[in-house]
Amino acid sequence: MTQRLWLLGFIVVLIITPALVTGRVSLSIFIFVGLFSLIVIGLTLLAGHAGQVSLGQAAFYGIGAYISAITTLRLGLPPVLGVMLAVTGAAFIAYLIGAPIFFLRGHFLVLGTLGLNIVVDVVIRNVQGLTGGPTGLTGIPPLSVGRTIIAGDRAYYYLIWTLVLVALWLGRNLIHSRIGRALAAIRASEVAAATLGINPAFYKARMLALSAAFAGLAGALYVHYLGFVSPSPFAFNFSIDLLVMSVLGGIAYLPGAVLGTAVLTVLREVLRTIMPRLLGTGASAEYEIVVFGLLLALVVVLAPGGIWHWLAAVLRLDAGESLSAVSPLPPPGRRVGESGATLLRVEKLQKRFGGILAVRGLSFEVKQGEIYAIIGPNGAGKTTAFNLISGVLRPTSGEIVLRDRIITHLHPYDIAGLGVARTFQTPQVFSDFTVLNNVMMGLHRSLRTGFLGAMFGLGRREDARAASEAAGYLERVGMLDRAMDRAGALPFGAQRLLELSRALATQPALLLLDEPASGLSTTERRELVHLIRQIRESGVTVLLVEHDVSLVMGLADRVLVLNYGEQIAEGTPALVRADPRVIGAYLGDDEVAS
Amino acid sequence: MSLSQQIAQFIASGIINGTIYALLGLGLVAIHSVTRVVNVAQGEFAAFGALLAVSLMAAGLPLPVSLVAAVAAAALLGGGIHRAAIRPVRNATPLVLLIITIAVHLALKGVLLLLWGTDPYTLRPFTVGPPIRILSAVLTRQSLWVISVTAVALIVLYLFFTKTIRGKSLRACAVNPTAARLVGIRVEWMGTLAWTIAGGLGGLAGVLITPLTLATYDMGLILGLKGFVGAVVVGMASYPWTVVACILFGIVESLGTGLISSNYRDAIAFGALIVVLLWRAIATLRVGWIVSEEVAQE
Repeated sequence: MTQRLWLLGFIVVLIITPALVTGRVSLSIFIFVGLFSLIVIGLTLLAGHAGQVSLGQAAFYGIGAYISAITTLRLGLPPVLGVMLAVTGAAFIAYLIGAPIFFLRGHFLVLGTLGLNIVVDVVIRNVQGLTGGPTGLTGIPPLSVGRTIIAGDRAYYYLIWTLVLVALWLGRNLIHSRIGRALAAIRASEVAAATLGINPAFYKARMLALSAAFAGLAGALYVHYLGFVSPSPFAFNFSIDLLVMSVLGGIAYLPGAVLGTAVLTVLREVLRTIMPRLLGTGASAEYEIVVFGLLLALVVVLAPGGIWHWLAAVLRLDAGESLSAVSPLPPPGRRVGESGATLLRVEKLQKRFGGILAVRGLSFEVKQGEIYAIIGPNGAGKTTAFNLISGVLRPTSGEIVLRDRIITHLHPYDIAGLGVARTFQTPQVFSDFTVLNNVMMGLHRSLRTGFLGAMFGLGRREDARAASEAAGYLERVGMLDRAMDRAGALPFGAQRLLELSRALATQPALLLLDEPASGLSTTERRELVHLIRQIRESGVTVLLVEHDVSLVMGLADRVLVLNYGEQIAEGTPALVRADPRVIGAYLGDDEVAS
Repeated sequence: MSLSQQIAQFIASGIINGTIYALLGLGLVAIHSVTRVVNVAQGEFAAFGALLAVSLMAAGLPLPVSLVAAVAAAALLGGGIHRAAIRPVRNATPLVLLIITIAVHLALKGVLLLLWGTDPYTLRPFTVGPPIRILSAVLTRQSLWVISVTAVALIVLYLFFTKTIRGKSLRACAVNPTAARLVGIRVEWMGTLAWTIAGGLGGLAGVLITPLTLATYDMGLILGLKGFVGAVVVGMASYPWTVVACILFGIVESLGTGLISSNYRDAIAFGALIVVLLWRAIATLRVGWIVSEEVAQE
């Protein structure tokens, strides 16, 4: 409850501030802190939660400013409509750029947005007919609702800070929703998230659009507040300032966005008074970048959590989730599958890495309801085959068919959506999540709350139900007592079980298990065998890759043996065990093998 | 001047600029392939090399000595940044490393500002003499220096990467750091080496271009970004193709600027950057979701 008290105190301070400050300049600083906070909240959502840095927020700010200025001044639209156009316009441009760039899966956004910032700056300065060029536009009407005109510092102060609070609320809801969990999962392991049916580019692009919408809103408010606009506030340097604000306040914390903005804005004012005295009036404004650069470096290296992280510790603001008791729901009943029909067909699959053929001409069929195992010595291409089937890698040639659908060229998240779940050789649990939240990620696709709904706090009931369902899956593997533990702190064997539960939570038709027994103790192995049989009983087809021959022979209905990417035998365990080429591959007998 | 003459001239100056971008692009590729860092501060090496060469000349050192010393200092700066700012936090997320290079960019730019101020500086051309006519384009002697010195640098780099054990180790680190470590390569030192090479290449770009344009403390960002355009076209992976891409980019920029308007020079350049990123993204989608083989190696 202390958190609520602090928030209340903050709101009270905000309300009485205008009465305390006198003189126009002082209040306008508070207005600008509010405006910049809006942009930085967006950037913090993007950088701290989607894990992507944009150096083009000043451009989105500028796009919003000019859209609203031009539509109200030249087209005579009502300012409220101008603001809406500014918000959607900035978001739309961001989305157009972000949606493709995020498929590059690296940090290319930073350079793309940096480029955009320079382009926008040049265009604003040069398309004089529309933007007024370097001198800008004047006479932009103030905001009005109906006949009420919003004018004066106090009005804008209250309007902007109300919007800041709303933005904080929206952002907080988003982070604590299904969407926020998906973003955190993507940051932890993009591959694992994708195999749970989450398309990382989709989420990141929407977060970029959201951050641009906040920046566009700030831009529009800016022009209606001041009544004029010129290109200089939207140059690339300001994008850097915004990033420094976000990092300084604490890139992972929304309140940090406001705090960082306030600290840096005040610091800049102080520097502007001190610097000319120290260094002469020459290029004193330019020296800001030295200070900002060093500040950024120091914060990132020495206190990556930023000021808020430190402050939250001092004030004992515990961000930890207070989770009420979850009553587990039993997992849904078995699905009826036509037993014996072909579920997965792999045909002449090849994968080449440079000069090495890791998988050569692999063909096999998995029937509905069976346990099918692929075995083979190290380097036989087993894991590569799995990566190909789950869409994590794309084959050089060949075809993969799920039921009647060719899935060879689908993305992992689409394949997951068709009912294929997998585990990894090294368990890819989301270490910083609780055990329960890990399993909830498996349920992600079955939940419906979208971005907007999540921002307005809808979907809490859905989440509560999902938690119960997730608990049900944990109960099934006997891990319910660990539901609130941090997943990364679990012992290895438990992480395997957790990953398996998470995969089951996607309610797959086909479950791919990549060396499920490796690293497990003898007891754990026995439990695993039991569990896999149970999974099959519940109607899930199991395809597993395994190193441990004896485990496979006792478990699988049919076995495929791979050696150096080539398949050398297929059939029931008894049949395969007797095959001379299999014996050769395992014992290294060249004569038998040839 | 006829249009065809003009175009020949644009292409010629595009090639010269592209050569400079290539030096920066190669540095970016070296750093990215070994340390997985997108170095936003790459252009600062050029600014530093250029300004230092100017000052050394002003201090009375002969031109060749100034140039070599400036390039060497830029190389040391590169290695030093790796040791001071990247290596200590090498386990940090790519996001943090990226923010660090942004901070390094700001800090270096600030230091250059403190040392050299906002004035533009110039360096005399390496050799004096009238411009040379090639086909219908007129080239200054300095332009020829740019091309020939870069060519020599490329050959040295090629020999280094293919013939020396160090160079091969560096490539090994780029392909698979874990495997490289297992065979006894000191991956962290290789990171420092990559940054040193990138610093040297950046410094070289700076001293070569200064006689043609001017050196200022803030010339780095735009230069570095233009090198990045070329490097990213070919996926930040191939040295020779980076050179080709940078030169092509130089030509496109020069033609665009010449034929449209010089006001739009940077807009054309960075519009091209965005187009290139989008194009790469679409190409990636066609090839497959994961281009690298990181997962396959788990």
